[in-house]
Order: sequence, then C-alpha cells, then structure tokens
Amino acid sequence: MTNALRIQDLTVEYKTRRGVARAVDRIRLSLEENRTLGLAGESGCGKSTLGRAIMRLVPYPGQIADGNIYINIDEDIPCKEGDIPKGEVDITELNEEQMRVLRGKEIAYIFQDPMTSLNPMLTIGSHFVQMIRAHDPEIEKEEALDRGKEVLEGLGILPERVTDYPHQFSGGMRQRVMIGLGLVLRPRLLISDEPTTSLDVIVEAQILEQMAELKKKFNLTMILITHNLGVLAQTADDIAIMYCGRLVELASVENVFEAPQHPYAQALLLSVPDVTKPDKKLVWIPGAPPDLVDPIPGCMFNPRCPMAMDICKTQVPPLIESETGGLVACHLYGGK
Amino acid sequence: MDRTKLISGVFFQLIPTKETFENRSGKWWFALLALVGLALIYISGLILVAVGSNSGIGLQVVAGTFVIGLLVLVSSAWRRWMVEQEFLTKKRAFIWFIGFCVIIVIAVSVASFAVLPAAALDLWFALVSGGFTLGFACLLLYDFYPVLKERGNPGLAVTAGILLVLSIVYMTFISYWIVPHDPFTLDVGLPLAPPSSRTPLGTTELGQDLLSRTIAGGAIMLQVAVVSVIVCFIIGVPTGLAAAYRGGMVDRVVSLVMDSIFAFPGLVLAIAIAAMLGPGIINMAISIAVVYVPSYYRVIRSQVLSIKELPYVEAAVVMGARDWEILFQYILPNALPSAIVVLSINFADAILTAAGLTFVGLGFPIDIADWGYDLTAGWGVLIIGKWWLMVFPGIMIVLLALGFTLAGEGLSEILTPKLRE
Amino acid sequence: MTLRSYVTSRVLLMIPMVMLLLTLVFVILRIIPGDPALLHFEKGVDPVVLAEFRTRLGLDKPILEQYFDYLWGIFHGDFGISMQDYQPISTHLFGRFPATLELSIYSILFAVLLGLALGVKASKNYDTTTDHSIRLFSIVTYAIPVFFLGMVLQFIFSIWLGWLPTGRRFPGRYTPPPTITGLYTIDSILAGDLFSLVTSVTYLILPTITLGTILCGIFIRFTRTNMLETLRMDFVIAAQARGLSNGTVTYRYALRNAFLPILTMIGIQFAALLAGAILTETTFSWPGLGTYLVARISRRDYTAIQGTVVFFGVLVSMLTLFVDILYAYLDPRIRL
Repeated sequence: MTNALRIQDLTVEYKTRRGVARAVDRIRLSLEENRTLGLAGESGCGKSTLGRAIMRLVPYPGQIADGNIYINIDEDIPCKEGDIPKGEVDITELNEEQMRVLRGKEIAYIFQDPMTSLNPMLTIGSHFVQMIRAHDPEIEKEEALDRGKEVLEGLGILPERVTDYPHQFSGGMRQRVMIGLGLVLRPRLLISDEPTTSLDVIVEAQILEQMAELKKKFNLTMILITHNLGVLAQTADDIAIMYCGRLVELASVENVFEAPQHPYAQALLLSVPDVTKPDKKLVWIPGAPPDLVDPIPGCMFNPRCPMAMDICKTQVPPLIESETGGLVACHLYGGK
Repeated sequence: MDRTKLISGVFFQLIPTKETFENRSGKWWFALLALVGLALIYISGLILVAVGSNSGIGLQVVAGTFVIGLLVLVSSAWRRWMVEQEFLTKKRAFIWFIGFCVIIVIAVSVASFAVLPAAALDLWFALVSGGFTLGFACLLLYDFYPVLKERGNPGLAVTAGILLVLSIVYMTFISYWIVPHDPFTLDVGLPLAPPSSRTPLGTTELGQDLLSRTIAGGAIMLQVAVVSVIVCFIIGVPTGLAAAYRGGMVDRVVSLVMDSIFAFPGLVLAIAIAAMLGPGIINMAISIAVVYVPSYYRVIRSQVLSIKELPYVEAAVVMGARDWEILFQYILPNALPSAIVVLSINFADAILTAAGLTFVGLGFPIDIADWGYDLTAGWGVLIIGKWWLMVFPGIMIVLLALGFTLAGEGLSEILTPKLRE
Repeated sequence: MTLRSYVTSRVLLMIPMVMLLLTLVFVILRIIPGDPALLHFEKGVDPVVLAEFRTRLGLDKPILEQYFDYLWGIFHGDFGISMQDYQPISTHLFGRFPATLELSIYSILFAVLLGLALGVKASKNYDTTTDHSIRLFSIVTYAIPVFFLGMVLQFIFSIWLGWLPTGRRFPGRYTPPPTITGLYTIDSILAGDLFSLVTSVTYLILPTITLGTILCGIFIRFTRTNMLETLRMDFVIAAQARGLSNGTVTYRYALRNAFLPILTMIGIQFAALLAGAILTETTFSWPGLGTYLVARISRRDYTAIQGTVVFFGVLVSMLTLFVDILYAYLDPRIRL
C-alpha cells in the first residue's frame, strides 16, 4: 500500500494583532490509499486549518510556517509553469500555478456550508463548465456541460437543472452539487470539512451514504473533518484526534471507540451520548482550552487532565506507538 | 463590543491605562508622523512665522498656553500614578484632577488681569482655551484615551485626525494674539502682493495680510460646523430613536421625508435654503443641518431596528422592563457609537458644504475673515497667476476636513467594525 | 418577486418621494421667505412695478393655486418663469443640461473605473503598504473641496504649464459640432469631425479628472470593503479549491458579486455627482446647469433657483430609480 498523503511536521501560524497563534503544531501523519481518515476534535482545535493547509488555502492571516505535505500522483500533470512529475510531490514546494492545477484535479475539498459555497451569480452548469475548463481549456463548453449533467444525474439531481441558480436548490441538493463539483475531475484525495453539519439528520444520512458509494466507485482517499464522532463511527477507517493544534491520538475506528488511549480522547468519548446505553453517565471536560497566542509549556491538555503528572507541565509528549497499535501523544505511555 | 469600549466611545472617559510613551513602538510614531507630519509642520510654521512678526505679546501667549498644557499633562500623569500606587481611588483622583484644572484657570485669570487689565477677558479666554487644547493633545498622545487603546491603524488614524483638528482649533483660539496684523486692516501691503518678508503669505485684493486672515479664518468654519452638527445630532438621533422604536405609521411617514431629503443632492438643497435665509453663521449652519439630519436618522433607525430584535432586548421586554428603560439602557448605548461615527464624518461634510456655499456666492461679507471667502476670491484672480490667495486658505480647509475624516474613518472601524479579524 | 412587480413597486414608491421633495422645495422657496418678489428687489421698489412683476410671474395668486400650478407645470416639464428675463426656465435648463450630462458621465466613469481598480488592488494586497496608501488616498480625496482641487489643477495644467485649455466647453472662434445629442464628444463622432472631438476632449479632461477624483474615494473604499468581504466568502474559497485561476476567482467570482452593492453605491452617488458638478462647472466656467444656478443666485432670481433645484431633484430620483431597476435585472436572486 502506498501513502496517498504524507504530512511532516506541518505548522500553520496565524499572525494576529495579539501575537502569533499556532493553529496547527508540528502535525505528522500519513494516509494510505483508499482509506478514510476522520479528523476529530472540538471547535478551534485546528482540524479545519489542517484541511485547508493541505489545499494550501489557509485563510488570511494564517500561513504555513513549516513542514512538508506530500501527495502521491499517478501521472505527470502538465502545467504552464513547470510540469508536475508523477510520484510523491511536496506541495509546499510548488508554485501558485502548479498548486492551482492540483486543486480540484488531485485534491478536492467540500465545504461545511453548502448554502454559501456556491457562487450566487452563476448557474450550476456554469460552475461545472468553469471548473472543467480551468483544468482543460480545450474542452468545449457543451462537452463540459454534459459531463456536469452526468455527474449530477449520478447524484440524483435532474440534469435539466443545470440552468438553475444556487438559490433555487435546497441545502442537501446544494451539498450534492458541491460533491459533484468535487468529483467531476476524478481526484484521488477528497477532503470534506464538516460536509453534513448544516444539514438535517435525514439528508445527512443520505449524503453520507452517497459519499461512501462514491468513495468505492472512484477509489477515493478521504479525509473527513467533523466534531461529530457518530458520523466518524459510520464512515471512517481511522480516526485522528486533535487538541489545540496537536495530534493527540491516531488509531483505527474500533480502537478509538473501544479503547481510547489519550485522556482527552477518553474524555471526548465519555461526553458523547450513546443510544444503546441510555444510562451512560455523560462526563464533561472541566475548563477551557488554553489560549493559542500564549501557549502553555508541556502537554496542552495538562490543566484539564485528570491524570496530569509533573512532566506534563514541562515537556511536550512525543507521538509514540500505543498498546493498541495506534499512535498516542501522552506521557502516561512513555514508560516503555 | 465590550462595555469599556462602548462607554468610552461615547464619553471619552479618562481612565488610567498601561499604554505610555515607552511601550508604543517606533513604527507607530513613524506612521503617525508620516500621516500628520507635513500638516503639523505647516500649521506650526504659520504660528511661528506669525509670532515672529507679531509686535504684541504673541510669544508670551504661546508660551503661556504651553505652560498650561504641560501643567494639565503633569497633573493627569500624577493622577494616574496615584491611582496605580493605590494612594487614591479613581474617583478621588479624578476630583483632584478637576481641582487642579480649576486652580490653573483661576491662576490664569489673575495673571491676565495683572498683565493686561484692558483686555483681560480676551487674554484669559485665549490662554485657557488654547492651553487646555494643547493639554488635551498631550494627553491624547501620552495617556491614550481608552477608545484609542485600539492598536494598529484605526487607533492611529483617530489619533492623527484629532491631533490635526486640535492644532487648528488651538491656532484659532490664540489667533487674536499672534496675528501680525488685524485680519481686516486694508492696505497692509500692496493689493495682491506676492509672498514677501513683510507679508509672508502675500496680500488679498484689498491689501489685507493673508497670513493673518489664514490664521484667524478658521473661526467661522468651526462655528458653522459645530452649530450645524449639534443641530443635526439633536434632531436626527431622537427622531430616529422614536420612529424606529415606535414603528408603524409614524415611522413610515418620517422615513419617507428623511429619504426624500437624503436622495436630494445635498449641496443643491443647502443652496436653496441658504439663498432664502441670507448670510450668517446660524443661517448657514441651519441650511447645512437640514441636509445632514437624514444621515443620523437613517443610521440610528437601522441600528435600533436591529438592536430591537436582539435576544437581550427581547429578554428585557419579557421581564417587563418599561419602554424608557429599554430605550435608554439597552438600545441607546448600543446605537450611539454609530451616531458618533456619523458625527465625526458630518463635521467634515459640514465644513466642505460651508466652503461650497461660500464658493457659489452664499457666504459671508468681506469684513469677516473666512477661508472660504479668500479661497473664492483666489479663484477670481487665479487666471492672472495670483496663486497664493487660493492656496493657503484652501490647504487649511483640506486639513480641517481631513482631520475629521481621518478620525471618523478610524472611529468607524473601532466602534462599528464590519470586518472582524 | 418578479422583476415586473419589483419595478412597479419601486415606481409607486418613488411618486410620494418626488411629491414630498417638490413640496419641500416649494415651501422653502415660496412660503418661508414670505414674498420672494420683495426679496428679489432687495432695496425699495415702486409698488406699481412690484404689482406688475407679481402678476407676470403669477405670484399674486393664492398660495395654494400657485402650488398646484407649480406641480402641474413640473408634470409637463415646465419649471416656471425666470424673475430676470421672464423667459421659461425650462429653455435654459434643457439647453444647458447636455453640458452637465457630458461632464457627469465622464466623471462618474472615471470615478468608478479608478475606484474599482484601486479598490480591487487594495483588497488583494490587504494590510500592506499598498493597501494603506490607497486607503489614505481615498480619505484625502474625501476631504478636498472639489473646487479647490479644480483650481489647483487649473493653475498647474492650464495657467502655469499651458497644456490644457480651460473655461467653457469649446473655443469661441470655432463652431461646435452640430447638435444631435448635445454631448460634444458624441456629436463630433457622429459628425465624423476629428478636430471637434480632440478639442472637446481637451476641454473635458481637467473638469472630469477633478470631479472624478473627488468621487472615486467612496468607490475605492466601498469596492475594497465589499471585495474583502466577498473574498472571504465560502464560495470564493470553494472556487479556489476547485482550481479556478486567480484571475477568474478575483474578477468573475469576487468582483462580480461585489459589483452589485457597488452599483447601488453608484445610484446613491448621483446626488453627490450633481452637487460636485455644480462646483466643478463653476470652477471651470463650464456652461452647464451649475453655472446657471450660481449665476441666478447672484441675481436673486428665486423662481429660477426653484426651477433648477427641482430639476436636479427630479433628475436624481429618476437616475436612482434606473439604477435600482438595473440592479434587479442583474441579480439572479431578484430576476426570476
């Protein structure tokens, strides 16, 4: 198995007036092909920033301060400003034009809010035409439109509706359009940032199911960013849990749900209600995450951790292999 | 918006802050200088040249105002130090500070009677108002009023704007004592004489000294602006509050009237009114005020309409608060910051409109020193190459309007942020 | 709401506004001063002359009858009779209107183009020296009286350097192009007269730059704010994530969406444009409505002042209405 994505020591910083905030702090992870990685954590932990960083679209005033992101490419991709060779490519080294060619073609991104992520001034068809022609200017408009229709049909949207404007669609349909736009060029990596959070439960289930089917059909490697652990339990193969910009645990779904290692992961799971265990006592995590502009030394979780030791307040725990086969960053397991 | 910012935006309270000269960066000072440096050099140059060729007690007056300004600064610094050392409570220290100011005022009046019994009141007024203006400017730079704690560009723009306005106000306050000639005396030099050592900025068509007229000419503009802005504010804000809070028919009718005025070209309407009312400060101020009332009304109205829907106001209604409580305790404090922003921009508009009215021939008679008048007169003689008559008063109008615009732009970003970072 | 019902409601809304405005002007210029006839003569005047003067102008009728005559006249394009020469004011107004129109059109074009260019540049270089300089420029243009800028430009370019002519629209020793539209530039093109075209353009340059510069500040600021807002919207970032080129994203996505509010701004600015035109015309002795108004002010010709003021009011209302309808036509969310 080859790695579709490999991230090394990625650091993203936001330069604010109050100081520099590290939203993503030396993240290291790799993702095998055809697998789905769930990225979980509470809001503000940097999971969306990490997703954006893979697209090199960190919102202002953030920027990638350090680290490398490698993605695996099947074939040479022609580009006006230097062709991109096949094999493992470090996208932090690419220029803007090369990066633009990769976006949409190799990596697709689906945004949280389908209501705002389509251009209100363009018809759905124009979205497809512009996207396809941005990557291959030689394709005729009609052909591009046909491809768009085909994709939409696959997602259960009538092809005639390509002449409609986004405001004429419901939220779930818009999200399908977004997925269609993401997949029309057959990318290998799909990053979805809370794709179903703003949809109601029934539509959410439909969309998740469709995404699973498409994943199989297109051989997609997926990163699913969400704070909803229930969604991850259904769809993900592996789960990575982030806290304050750092990766605290990475393991397979079963292991994370059965035997979470990191105290934060344990607390996170305890705070989720479970229908099968109605008498489960929900536990909330006391305190609030530390200020990212003024970070605390040692493990970021130490002020809230029930098992904090002295070493936790001075040294950042390294990411080590855990007993269950995953990775964990906690001094509790540093002994062996 | 937090409470301190809100309150201070409205009342400019004096609250001790940690910001002092030392911990403001060099870059900040450089940017401020770059922004207002030339303007301040121009204004202080005018004052210096005037004082240099002034035969009276101009120098003493300027020195006197500086001493007063420094005293104000020192007493404020002392007050802050006492509070920081916890020798006095904030309230006590504030009373002490007021006390100091009163002592300064009394001392100045004694001194001016001793020095110049004939014109003691004028001298006293020039010293006190000029001195406190300077003191205010020093406090602004040293102490930083809470609203200006905002770092970065908005705070900088507000500081620069207020500094510009204060320097012109200062110049106007002490103008009577520092002008080399009476601004109205005819034939100080030859008519339309170019700048020379005797008349540093040249003379007008009637041979009046342009330097004296430039220094003294701000009084009219400032009075017109202040009166019209006050009238606008007093009419626009309550009307907006009442109409938006009551809603219904009243709101619709008042809004229709305001919208009609707002849609009309402001200057044209002001021309119509000013043509009817005839010349005069109050008349000009009224004609300007009518034009700008709708901007207050519209801003306040839209603010009230959105605040009215906010959960905490609804909660207050549910808990049985009375109308006036909701209006004055919940809605007004939140709507006022936007009105403050409009007010500051409105000053600039009023000045520009006043200049425009003067330019179309609805200004003041010749026996009043007014920048607008000289600028208009300068236009008439521009064609024969006499540029000075238009340039110097024109620059003053630009600087005054620029000061208010800068302050308004900065305030609008601090008090009513559209783009959150 | 369909476009048609939108237009209807907009027109219906305009009628009471215009009526109010006309009444306001009538009240200000006829009722408040008491007797405009007496004001006109300033010093004492023979009662017989005064009585005849009143009869000729219709000022001896009851005030209500005067009011309805006035409304009825305006409805027919009759703006009253001048106190100065007993001529219908509308002849002057319609004769001078093309000059004002020509100046206004080129000025607003100049202002919008410069404003859009600088505004887009500032927003793309957000929070850099370029951005700050452009913003400072826009603030300074706001603070300069339009006639002061006009005088400075006039002094530098026509009196001092002698590069450009000034005063009036066309040199007196030549005949202007045959009147078709009344706009000298358009008429010269229609007549195929290159000399007239060049001459009228040289006369237009300084007034246009003066008025355009004063107006462009607001467009710079407005474009910048709107672009910044739009550039941060999800659909713009989603477009980038699909690999659309930078130019497409900036101009076809962000600017096109930001342009609608800017269009409204243009509508609002017509009032400022005409107010500025009065002062600019006076500065450059441009024979338009502004110079007419100013000349009549010095003659105390109150009926002419009233007529001109009303003309400006009706003009602005119609222009605003036109822009509103254009807006509705361009925005797909209204156009259904």
